[in-house]
Amino acid sequence: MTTGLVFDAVLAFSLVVLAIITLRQRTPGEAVVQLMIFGLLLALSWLRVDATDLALTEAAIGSGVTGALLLAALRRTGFGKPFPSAVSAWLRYPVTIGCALLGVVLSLVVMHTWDSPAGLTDLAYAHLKESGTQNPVTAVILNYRSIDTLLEIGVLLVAALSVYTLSGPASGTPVKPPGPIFRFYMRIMTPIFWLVVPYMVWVGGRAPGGAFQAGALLSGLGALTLLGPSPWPLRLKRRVVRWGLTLGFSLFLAAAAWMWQYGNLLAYPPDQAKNWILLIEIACTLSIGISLTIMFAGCAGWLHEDPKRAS
Amino acid sequence: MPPPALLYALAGIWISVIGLRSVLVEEHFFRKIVASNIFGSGVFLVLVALARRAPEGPPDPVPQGMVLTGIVVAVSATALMLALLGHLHDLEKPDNQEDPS
Repeated sequence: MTTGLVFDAVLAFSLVVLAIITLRQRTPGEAVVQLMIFGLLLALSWLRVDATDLALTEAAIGSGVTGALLLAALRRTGFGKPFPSAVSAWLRYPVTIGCALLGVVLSLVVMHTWDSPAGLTDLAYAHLKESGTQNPVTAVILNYRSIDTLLEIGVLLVAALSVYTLSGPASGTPVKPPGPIFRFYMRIMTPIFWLVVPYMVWVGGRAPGGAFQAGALLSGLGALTLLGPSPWPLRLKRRVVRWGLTLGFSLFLAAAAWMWQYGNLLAYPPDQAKNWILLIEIACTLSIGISLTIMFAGCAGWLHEDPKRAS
Repeated sequence: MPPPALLYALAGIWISVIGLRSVLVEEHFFRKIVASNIFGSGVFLVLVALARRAPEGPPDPVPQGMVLTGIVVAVSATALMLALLGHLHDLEKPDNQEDPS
């Protein structure tokens, strides 16, 4: 008990220190590496408060994909250039004082309301049997509050399309042809990815996992493929890319419309819920994977020209 | 003795406050993007810790679902900000004038 508490105190304190260190790095490259370390430790802290689903997602998306996006963008804008030290001085002191006050007020609020009765746990567990899944977090995001997730997939689609539109002609520095170690790594990792991604979707029904974690893994494979010996051009002209990108959102929307006959948007009848959730998860995994890969390629400036051709 | 989740909630508050300060004060866009990610992570940490307020039993899945949604929206926003930053970088390059079409 006490050991656990000491660990929690040290971890919570290190997270705050790491956030400060990340924001004080001199160059963008160092800041990104620090941010990724921060993300992984954050995922560790979420394991300590029993949020395994979130820890997986944070490690994969919050630390992994975000880091990859930031590093990809730095290929275009430069790693080593130090940040300009100019911070607007007249803003600095009032903003710092304001933020400190905000922190104090929020801390007091959280400490005072800590013992008030907990939120919706009982209600969420009471209907778990009818929700078509045994994982309460999956039940929240794909059944009770599936309208949020529908809109979220929409946000992801719009963001991917915006990145696609904004990325101009290839401006990134050319990719080095992959060496033998990378080729070997790809040969081993590709089948593993193809095993783990479907497993991740399937296991989300009863244990931590699901479409977001699986989609993030798929985008990892996508990013590796873009860097590898035979990059796969992600142009929207290609039918596979176009359909894959929009499949999650359109299927989700179709499900929402279909449920209208039962009286409510996205209210699955209990006996069909499991199949609908699985179908939506598979489609969303594919779309999330393609969206995140397009974002990675767009941030690196590789979308409109083969990385291979650029080298 | 404070409950462990309270420690994480307090850490989350201060992480988000530090991130918010940097978003407002820093002038370099890339640093603003990194700071906004830290700001978001702090908010997520507060929500995840609040889901574990009851010391026994399962944690509250509703804030957890909100954070799961939030992580994906945050990565989308980061990608969009970076694409805008890359576009700005291309426009500012003196040797590479964007064609007007």
